[in-house]
Amino acid sequence: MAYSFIAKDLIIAHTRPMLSDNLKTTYMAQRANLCRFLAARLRDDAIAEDLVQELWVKLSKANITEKIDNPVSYLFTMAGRLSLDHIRQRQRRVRRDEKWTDESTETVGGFATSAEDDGETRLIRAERIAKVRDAIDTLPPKAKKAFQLHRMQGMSHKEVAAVLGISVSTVEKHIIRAMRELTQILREAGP
Amino acid sequence: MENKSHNSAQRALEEKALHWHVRLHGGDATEADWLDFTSWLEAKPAHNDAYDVVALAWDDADDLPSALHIETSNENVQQGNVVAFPMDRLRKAVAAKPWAFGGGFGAAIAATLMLLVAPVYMAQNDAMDPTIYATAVGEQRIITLADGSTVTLNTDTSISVIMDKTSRRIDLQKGEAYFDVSHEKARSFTVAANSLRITDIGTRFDVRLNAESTLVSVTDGIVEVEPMAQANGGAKNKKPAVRLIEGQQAIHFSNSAEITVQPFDSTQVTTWKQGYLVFKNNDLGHVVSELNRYFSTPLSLAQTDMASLHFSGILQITDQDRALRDLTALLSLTVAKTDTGITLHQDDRVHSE
Repeated sequence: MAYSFIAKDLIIAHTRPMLSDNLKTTYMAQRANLCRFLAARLRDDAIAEDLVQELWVKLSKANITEKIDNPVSYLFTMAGRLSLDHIRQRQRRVRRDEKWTDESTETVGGFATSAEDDGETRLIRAERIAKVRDAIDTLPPKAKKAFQLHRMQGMSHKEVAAVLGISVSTVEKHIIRAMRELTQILREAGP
Repeated sequence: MENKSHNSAQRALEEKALHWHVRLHGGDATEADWLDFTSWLEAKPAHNDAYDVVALAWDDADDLPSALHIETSNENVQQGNVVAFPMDRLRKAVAAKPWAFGGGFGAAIAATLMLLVAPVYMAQNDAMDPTIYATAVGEQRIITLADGSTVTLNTDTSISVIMDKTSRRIDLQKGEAYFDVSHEKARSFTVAANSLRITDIGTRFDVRLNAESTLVSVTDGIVEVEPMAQANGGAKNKKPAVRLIEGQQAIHFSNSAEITVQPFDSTQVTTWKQGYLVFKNNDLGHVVSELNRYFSTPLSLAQTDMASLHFSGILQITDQDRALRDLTALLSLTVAKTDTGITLHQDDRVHSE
């Protein structure tokens, strides 16, 4: 029995910006809540306001062709992601202030000239990613599979449950287990 | 100690944050859930800090293309159940986060890398036709094979895959690919790359075809490498296959019988999967030819002696303008666009008109 995988039909083309009315309406309704959530995450009302605006811009540019099942969660997840980008930038700034002060004038210091993603940051990130990967590899097979389907394939807990033939609460247990391992390994690795 | 109790309090908060996170991202979270969570974050700064740890871990898992094994366990295969990943699911996975592509490191490449694999059932008695996967210039793609192994194709690459009961055979026809192999006792995993045959012993490695040479770089585990002619039984004085371990690289020139083994700098070999290239005191000529692999608009140098300028830095391969901006800023070069491509000039020289 043979299986073969063909990818060509599924390459994403994100050229046409499309925003379902559903998301638009939900954004309008949730704007204040999203702002409050961002302010809580960032402890800064002004930045929260900027980001909620940026969220709208990103939404407008994104090519969302599928119906979003849970638009509220979708928007909050997106906001969470934006706040995280911001938090990472803060961490980078702190690291740079600690480390780069005397070196940045050298040519090789060109690595550090780009404020957004200098080479050092990338290598640190790459190391973190390697750690995450190892952590996932060492999970028990069922937890690993559940986590991969959920995290990498973007399936909801319900969908994972259906695919694996287990209950939703078991899926949750697996995901929690995987996340616990991840946070632990990354805590050890430092920021 | 005080420190210890602080740690355990911290752990407890992280555990709480983790449960919040999982609940909110399961697919069923409501507005009320998100508002409850916001209140929890607002209640104490330590709550928000604990959530940072969890959210960052979650986010880091986003940049994990090569860890994306779709496991096809034996029982699934026997039941013909591999099609547990229907196309609409996969499309949905992409649709679920197109916005993520605007984000930080790795996000841009995620757009091009977003793996999409559609399982297709082939009739049982079909002849073993190879399946071909290819990328265009500037494209990268991750293929998950039926055995759970993944192959990441770099720009302008083509492979064919044949899997049967006794073997897993990949032919790298052009370009570069990174293999992350699921070990199977019963079936060997071999890669034919120009003049070399590579046999995997459960590992991760990169294979790159150049015009005259083949490079095999092992990032994890062990592989065996031998010249194709010998592998096919053509050579009279058979030499043992060369064994490469993690951190070693084999170079083979097509017309040679020798395989050279040397250590390699993994930051310079495999970072293409993350969307950037690292250069450490490399000639500009080399930098330009590396960049040209990724972009369809060719880059050239106004004067040939510029090729010997040295460059150290990190360049993006997902965005040519960005790469050029970084390169020219670091070397004091200027860019001139022509009908056929892009030419780099040295700032202190007068451009010809």
